[in-house]
Amino acid sequence: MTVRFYLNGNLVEPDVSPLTRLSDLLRDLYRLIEGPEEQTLILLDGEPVFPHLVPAFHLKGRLVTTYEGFSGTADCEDIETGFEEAHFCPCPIHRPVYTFLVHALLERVSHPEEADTAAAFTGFHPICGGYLSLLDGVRLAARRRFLRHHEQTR
Amino acid sequence: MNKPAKQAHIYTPRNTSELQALRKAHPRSFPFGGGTYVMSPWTKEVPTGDIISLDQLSDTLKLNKTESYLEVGSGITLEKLLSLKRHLGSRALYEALTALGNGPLRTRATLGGNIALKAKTVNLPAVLYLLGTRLEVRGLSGSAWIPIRKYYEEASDNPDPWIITRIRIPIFQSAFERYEIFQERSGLESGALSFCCLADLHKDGIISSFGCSFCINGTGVLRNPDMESLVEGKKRPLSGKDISRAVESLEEMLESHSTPLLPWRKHQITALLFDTLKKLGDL
Repeated sequence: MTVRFYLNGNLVEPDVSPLTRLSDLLRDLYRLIEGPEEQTLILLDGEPVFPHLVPAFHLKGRLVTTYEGFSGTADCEDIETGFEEAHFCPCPIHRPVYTFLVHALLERVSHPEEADTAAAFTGFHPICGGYLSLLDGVRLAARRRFLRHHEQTR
Repeated sequence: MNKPAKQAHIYTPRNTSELQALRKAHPRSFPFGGGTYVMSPWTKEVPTGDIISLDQLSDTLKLNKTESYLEVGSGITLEKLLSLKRHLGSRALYEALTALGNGPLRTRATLGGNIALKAKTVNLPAVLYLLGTRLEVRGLSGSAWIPIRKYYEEASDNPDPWIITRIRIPIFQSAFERYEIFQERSGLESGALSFCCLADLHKDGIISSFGCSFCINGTGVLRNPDMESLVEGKKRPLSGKDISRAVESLEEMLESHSTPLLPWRKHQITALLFDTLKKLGDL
């Protein structure tokens, strides 16, 4: 079957079997996933999901954003800079995962409390790079994003 | 990677009438919800024929709250349910949802799918059972509201398999709620066990209601009404004698259970009950 969806902003139309995993598509067809699939996140219509749990037939008309497509955006820059300022340095495998989790958190809550961050990271412990640094990184990223949005609306 | 059928046809019903028509026309087709179980790498049950995708089924994507219950469409994701927080009512239910995987998994996993897996995933059944959850199920011959217990008892070779469309979860908070889960990663692995206990108390310390259930991966939900009635009506803290009687009653049920349980498992279950009855006294 041919599935039309948007991958990092570009319309793509691969011909695949319906139950092909999105992770297989991204890795084999578009060379976009390198790490272990169970530790990879993507944004599907803005929500972080595991691509290996998404079948191709669920992609029709949806927006898929990988870390490669997300990095370089202002939203990503807020988070990356927040991480940097907090000296939070996760490994290359976990960095995209944490970036997407923080992005989804900041989309829901502009100034997350510690409990919000803890809830967003349930099931991802232990935190590579240190939990306390992560909390600082989230706080600083939230501040940057808030100031940027504030600046844009002035 | 799964080996899907290249020629598989995907049917996408928009409402339950279309779903019923499709199921009648294609009785061997596979109903596909969020897909978190079917797509997981350790699952062996891969659909090989046509698929009925349930993700566009408008009737199953509604979430209503009344004073006494939540009515949840079977396609509602666990993350959306979790976002209700205190409106869920039961703290044990909130804990059970929180313990289920992580946010990205719960964003795809649906409540209907989780229940349909029966005891293959142990996170929710013990709580839903005790809360008195009811399900609207649809077979080819019609629909009915049934207690979740009856759904779990459905024969695996039912020629007219049920599809869950709505779930009613009573909203109430008990004075004492305890939820525990013993698992390695997702509640799917053999050996996983969940436990839930709900109890209410009169002002004078009398235990007015007591419910206790266990869910073991592959075995199902265990509940012993005889043991519960031994505890109800007693004043807390329970005496050593009352606790022993309750534990013995549970042990008797475990001995006569149709699926033989290993000694360590029986010990785990009775120890949980013993500890809970002690904790109930410490309130």
